[in-house]
Amino acid sequence: MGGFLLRRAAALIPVLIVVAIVTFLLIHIMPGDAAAVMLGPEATPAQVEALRESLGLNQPLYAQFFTWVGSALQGDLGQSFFIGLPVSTVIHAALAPTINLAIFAEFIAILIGVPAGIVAARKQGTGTDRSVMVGALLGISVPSFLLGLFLMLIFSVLLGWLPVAGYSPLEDGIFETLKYLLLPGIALGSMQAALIARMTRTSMLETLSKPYLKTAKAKGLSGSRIIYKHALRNASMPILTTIGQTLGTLVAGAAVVETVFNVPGIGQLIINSIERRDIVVIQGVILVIAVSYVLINFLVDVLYSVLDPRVRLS
Amino acid sequence: MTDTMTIGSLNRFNKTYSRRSMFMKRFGAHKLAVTGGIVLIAVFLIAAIGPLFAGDPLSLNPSERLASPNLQHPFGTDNYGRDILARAVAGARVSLLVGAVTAIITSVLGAVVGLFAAYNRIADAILMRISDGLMAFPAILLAIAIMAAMGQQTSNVIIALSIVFTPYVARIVRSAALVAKEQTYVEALRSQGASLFRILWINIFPNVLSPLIVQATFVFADSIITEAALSFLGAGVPPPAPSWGNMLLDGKTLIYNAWWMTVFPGAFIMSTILAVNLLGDGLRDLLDPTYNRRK
Amino acid sequence: MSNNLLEVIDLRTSFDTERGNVTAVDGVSFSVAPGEVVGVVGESGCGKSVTAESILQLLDPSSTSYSGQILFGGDNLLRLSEDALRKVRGYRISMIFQDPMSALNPVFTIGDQLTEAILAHKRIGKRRARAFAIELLAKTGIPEPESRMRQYPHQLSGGQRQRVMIAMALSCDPELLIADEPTTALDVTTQAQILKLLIELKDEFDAGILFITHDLGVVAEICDRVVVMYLGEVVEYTDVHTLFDNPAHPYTRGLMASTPGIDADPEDDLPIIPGAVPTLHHIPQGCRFAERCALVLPECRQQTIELEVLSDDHASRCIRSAELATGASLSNGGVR
Repeated sequence: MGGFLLRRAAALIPVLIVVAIVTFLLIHIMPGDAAAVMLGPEATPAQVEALRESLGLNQPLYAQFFTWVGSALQGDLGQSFFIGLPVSTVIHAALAPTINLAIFAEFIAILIGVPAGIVAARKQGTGTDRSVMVGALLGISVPSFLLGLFLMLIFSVLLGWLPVAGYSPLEDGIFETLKYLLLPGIALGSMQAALIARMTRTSMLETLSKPYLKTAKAKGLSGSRIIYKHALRNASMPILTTIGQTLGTLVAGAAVVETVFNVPGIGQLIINSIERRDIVVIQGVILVIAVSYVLINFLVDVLYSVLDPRVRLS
Repeated sequence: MTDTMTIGSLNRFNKTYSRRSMFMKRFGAHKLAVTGGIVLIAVFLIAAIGPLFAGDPLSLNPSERLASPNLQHPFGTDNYGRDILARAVAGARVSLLVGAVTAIITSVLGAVVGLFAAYNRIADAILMRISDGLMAFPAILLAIAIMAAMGQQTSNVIIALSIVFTPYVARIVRSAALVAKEQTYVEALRSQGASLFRILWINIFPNVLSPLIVQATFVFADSIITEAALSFLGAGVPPPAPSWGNMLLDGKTLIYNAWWMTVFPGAFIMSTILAVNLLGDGLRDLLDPTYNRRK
Repeated sequence: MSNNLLEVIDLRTSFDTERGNVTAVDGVSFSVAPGEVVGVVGESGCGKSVTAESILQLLDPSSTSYSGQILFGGDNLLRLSEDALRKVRGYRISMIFQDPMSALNPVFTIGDQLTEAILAHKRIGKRRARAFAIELLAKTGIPEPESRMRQYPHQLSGGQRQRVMIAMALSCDPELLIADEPTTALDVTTQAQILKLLIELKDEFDAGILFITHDLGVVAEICDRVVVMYLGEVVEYTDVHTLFDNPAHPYTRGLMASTPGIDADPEDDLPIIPGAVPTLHHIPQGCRFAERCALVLPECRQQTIELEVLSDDHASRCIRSAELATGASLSNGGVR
């Protein structure tokens, strides 16, 4: 078990190095002089030079990289030139609504996707199965921000049931938060639900034909026990992989959906930073999300070994 | 006399093309995929010739601001009095262009990288680590970051999307090529002294073509979605040029006043993506039944 | 109606497939008396496994339909509700499968799967169920049963896994045990051990056994009576001695000829039955075996052949069975 974890952890290092390089290079793919671009045409040469100095752009590339990685490892993601605050502080402030939205959406997605996939697999080839699959196809075909707009149009503008936009922090009560997160959560969770339903169906179909389920039936176990204990446990690994793999996408998706509903999270931060060309903030955001994505997948791997003894012991 | 001739030549025709006609027959049986294909062709036609009829997407008409759908403007007008139909049709051009060009670029790059990785161990280690690293970024976020750095331009959108999606294609090509490489006839060719590079392109490439085509359709769909999201965030196709994404951005601010500014471009995106997904699912069932869609 | 434990009457099992409806078991009848071992023999695809699984209705309910009767303990199993059937499965009738590796759930421990089988039918506590499971494992001759309880199927050898399956099947002291090719996936020495174990346990538990196999050698060792199946039909049934002494169906004869004896010269070619079992989609007219039969006559293909009763407990589905039963050496005079 220890060796397994160590091997998996070691495999993360090259990925994290590439993530660091790509993030670092962003500032260098800006056309022309990064400092000049960031400051805009009205900046004086002295201002540009000052910014170059503060960004460390005058050093050789490799030295810049190591300085940058060194501070990033200490949690220092640089200073936002425009806001005048450390990037880590800015991100930290914007993170809570985004994470809450992502978790809520994942929750909705699992709640819908897994049972729908199971039902479709059990009733393979029937009308129920086809409806689930058509629903899943629709879910995959409507981008979350678009679904968000449609939902807003129907439930907030037309029916007036839910607030159009905004956010209420958890501290002011979870129900208030959920009221604001309901539509964005559904919008974001639907594609996720569709992916989970598809994967659950495929995986369950594969598992349902396994001989050990016949054994379970021959033992005299009830249908639901066969499905939920014996089949689902075996089918859970590809489902978990899908959930793990898409969790990163979900955080990014949350950033996009947020902008539809004016939730003050990472998405708003990104939009404002794009307008200001505040590339240091953007670097910080994508670094944080990519690293969390890598770590989440690592955790999914660990979870695998708990769920499937064959992985752990091989 | 003529009849028998025709039947005879038809039979021969059928024999020669039996594989292909089998494909067409099975494809025909896949009603959903055919529907998807037809809708997609329709969208392409709209993009190609629509602008000739739909009018100028950029012409301002302050006297007809925010007109709801009417005979003159079937989809209504926006806050500058621009015709939504004309803009949606012009937007189709942008979206399909971005999607198609990205799909082509990623297919070519992905095939080269994937085959090269399957061909050389050291290259494989390096290329796959790079692709792992790139795939660690959620697609939309990496695209946003690249756009933020390079600046808002349609060509930059294509570059950004190609960087984002190439690793996925390369992975698929690589694994298909590795399987093909293990087959005995490849061993036989190698033992006869054929160069591995030649084998890769002449003998292995055809084997990866099916998964490559399927993946290309999905890249096409994902590119259209991502472009729309980028433009919606104000990081994609720069205004005033219309794209479905930036039309939705305009619509969002006026969602209380002008539902048509949201509904029509939204419907275009939805039906296009649905059509591509239907087509892609059908193609996958047909060409590559063992492959699971990435996401 | 009789003192039989199990009585299968005119069982028909058919599946809906993409290429239409097929009948995998077509009018099969046989019986098992208490304490008796009945073998069901045939090549793969003859319907023997489907017959076995039909008894407990383990086949996919959405695409399978059954007709006929399966009488067991006064009930027709085909008429029972799913709930009532569940109380029969694993409790009064239990089953052992061909490949113990895939028949055990890979993600649960042996102990978990064994106690589950016990707890499904007995109202006892977990602790007692566990102790009982260890006892059962010990009975099947598994070394260190207690530590096996904590292991997963992939950590055991093939023979040990099959012993676990046997322990599981016997956990509720069933009246009937259905063994579907229980030794096929095992190597030869393990096969012999498992067979020996089954014979020992049969006497201890006093259960009737329905033994599905393609191996006539195994039949000779363990069975009292034999049912030979071909393409979904019973082609011959009788007691094991008559079967080996006076086989009355050309198919049975073919099976026997293609089984190597212990004293066979390895240099000699074993005779084989020519051709392969036709698919269920293309069932031949007349005698289903005619295509592959060395003794075929023109009449064979023209009429439906019925089971012909030769004696009290011997019947054969062949128009030449009377001639065959005499043990004469026959030919078809070159007709084919």
